[in-house]
Amino acid sequence: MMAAVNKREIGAGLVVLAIGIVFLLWSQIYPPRMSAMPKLVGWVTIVLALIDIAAHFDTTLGRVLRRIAGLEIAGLSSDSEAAVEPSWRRIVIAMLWVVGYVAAIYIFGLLATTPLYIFLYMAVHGRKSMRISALNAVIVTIAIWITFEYLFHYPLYPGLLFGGQ
Amino acid sequence: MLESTLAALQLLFTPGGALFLFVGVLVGLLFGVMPGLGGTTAIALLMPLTFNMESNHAMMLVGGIMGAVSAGGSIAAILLNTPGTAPNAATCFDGYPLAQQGKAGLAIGAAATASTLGGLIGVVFLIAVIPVMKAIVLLFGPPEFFMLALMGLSAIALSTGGQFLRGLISGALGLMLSFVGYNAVSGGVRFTLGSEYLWDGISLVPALTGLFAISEMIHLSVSGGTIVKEKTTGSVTSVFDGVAAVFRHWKTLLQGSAIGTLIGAVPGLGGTVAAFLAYTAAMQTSKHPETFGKGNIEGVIGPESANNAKDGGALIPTLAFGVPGSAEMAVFLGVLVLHGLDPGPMLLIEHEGVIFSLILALSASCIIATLITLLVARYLVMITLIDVHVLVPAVIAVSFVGVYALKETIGDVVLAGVFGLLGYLMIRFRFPRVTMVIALILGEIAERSFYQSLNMASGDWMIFFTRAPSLILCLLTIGCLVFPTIQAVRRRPRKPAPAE
Repeated sequence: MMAAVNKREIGAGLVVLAIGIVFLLWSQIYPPRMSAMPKLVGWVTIVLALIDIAAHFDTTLGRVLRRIAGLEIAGLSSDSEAAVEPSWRRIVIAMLWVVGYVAAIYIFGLLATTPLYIFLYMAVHGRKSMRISALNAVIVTIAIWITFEYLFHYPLYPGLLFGGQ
Repeated sequence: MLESTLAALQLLFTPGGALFLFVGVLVGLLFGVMPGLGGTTAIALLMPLTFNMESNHAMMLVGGIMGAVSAGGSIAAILLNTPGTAPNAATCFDGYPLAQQGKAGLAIGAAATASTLGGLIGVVFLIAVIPVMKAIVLLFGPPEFFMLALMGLSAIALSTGGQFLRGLISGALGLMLSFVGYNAVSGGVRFTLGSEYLWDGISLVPALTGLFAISEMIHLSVSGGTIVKEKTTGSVTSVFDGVAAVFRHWKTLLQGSAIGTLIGAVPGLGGTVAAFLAYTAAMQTSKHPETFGKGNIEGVIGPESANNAKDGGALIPTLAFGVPGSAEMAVFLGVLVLHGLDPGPMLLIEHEGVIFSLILALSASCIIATLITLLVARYLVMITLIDVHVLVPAVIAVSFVGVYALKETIGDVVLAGVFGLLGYLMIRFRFPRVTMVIALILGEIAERSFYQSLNMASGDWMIFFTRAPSLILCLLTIGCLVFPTIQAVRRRPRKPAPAE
């Protein structure tokens, strides 16, 4: 029976495989001159993904592929980033702060959202004092406004609610 | 030529000339440090202001900006893993790990010195090739562009820091992204998901800002603490250690400068391609390629020297034929036209003095920007000691504002956010981001040049092998692909791999 070396890494390979297949199918709808290169890249991605998946199984083929593909050098189990494994909860929260900020910029604009985002991030996520959070939010927002809008006349995005498009 | 050089030198020491040069350097440093801005924006912004200036003064101002932007961009790249300008992205790969190890002073010292010397080498090259400019630029046609792009793509294999397979996968994903938008070959639009914003393709600056700045901020947000995990050394000594490192690795400096100048001279490629190729070349020729991406000073010297050297090279087609080598040069062309200076072979004959003012300003600004950077480096490294929960929201906010300012499109902000999340996932699953960027930049060039070449030769593939420059580039490409495979096959594990 084949034993998987690292299920998480195989999951990553499967995602790439799915991307390759979807991209290849998507390429089919375009005329030949527009789709020749994308199809080639789609097939190459699928082959590379299959090799990546095969390399993560503890078989003779897997070991040979790992050596050629440089996966042993990458240090699948000893990489510095892999050594510090944060929980997925923390990762999702950190990502949601970015997603939330972008969504708020889109709706309320850069100038209205930025101080609020900085204040909330520092106070709630960073657990800083209200005073430090508010001070940083005001300083950064003023610096952005002076540099971009006042000095260089770059209008900051007003947001969908205030006339942005 | 000597008379023009002396006249330009005289102008440099007049109060007006010196003032405009200094203002140009400060603006260049500021725009370089601010993520998403850069030299193109700075020159475009100040172009209307130069209208009432003397042409020589305008050249001092523009030359000051061009020479200083790279130095400013390297500061943000090293300290925050946020490339101030797109060509500085390659500096992140080893500059930021050095900052994390508490060696930000060393990295800044090396970057500033490599940047200056690279810029000066580029200028010397520019002066040397002025008489033979036309012949050099005409050597490059679509087959050479295709082979050059192919060489850059195959260099992916070398720039993966040991993660060969995952590097190739990232490269393939980058190529997929490069196909998004309007296709110049067929005149159709591909993979846009019905979004008009994507008709122009994936914008490079938002993509780079997301992949490097935003993703790194998410990474810091998850890990907490400070950027520096070890004791920091931003002392004057460590900064000058960086200066000394450049002279110790003089071959990397010369190699990067040569790549920067040559790539800069090829219209349509630009500083980002030059910096990434210089990085991969530095890795290929290094005695310790395995330490690249982990804080190898050669990984800072190579791209930084190429980054500034490209300006000298990019001026060659701009001045000689009016063909801009990059977006920055396209805007600079506007400045020339605004001042009644028609680019072309006659420019050097009719306005030699103005051109030498520009060349001198470019050289002087490299030196001034470096001196300023070296003087303030020890204070700048303190940024790496700030609590990440204070730094993260500020950097993310400035990054998004900078990205929006470039084209005033909210789509760019959304794109930067998407690439930020993608970049973080790539960090977590160890897919090298550098290879995706190289493929994203070169994918469109490769496809377009490929079809142009076949059209030129009525479908005959031999066009890629019958032209000497193309054939040389083809052989170099094969070398790039074969080298890591041979290296990997020859590498024998010293002991049996333990059960994982």
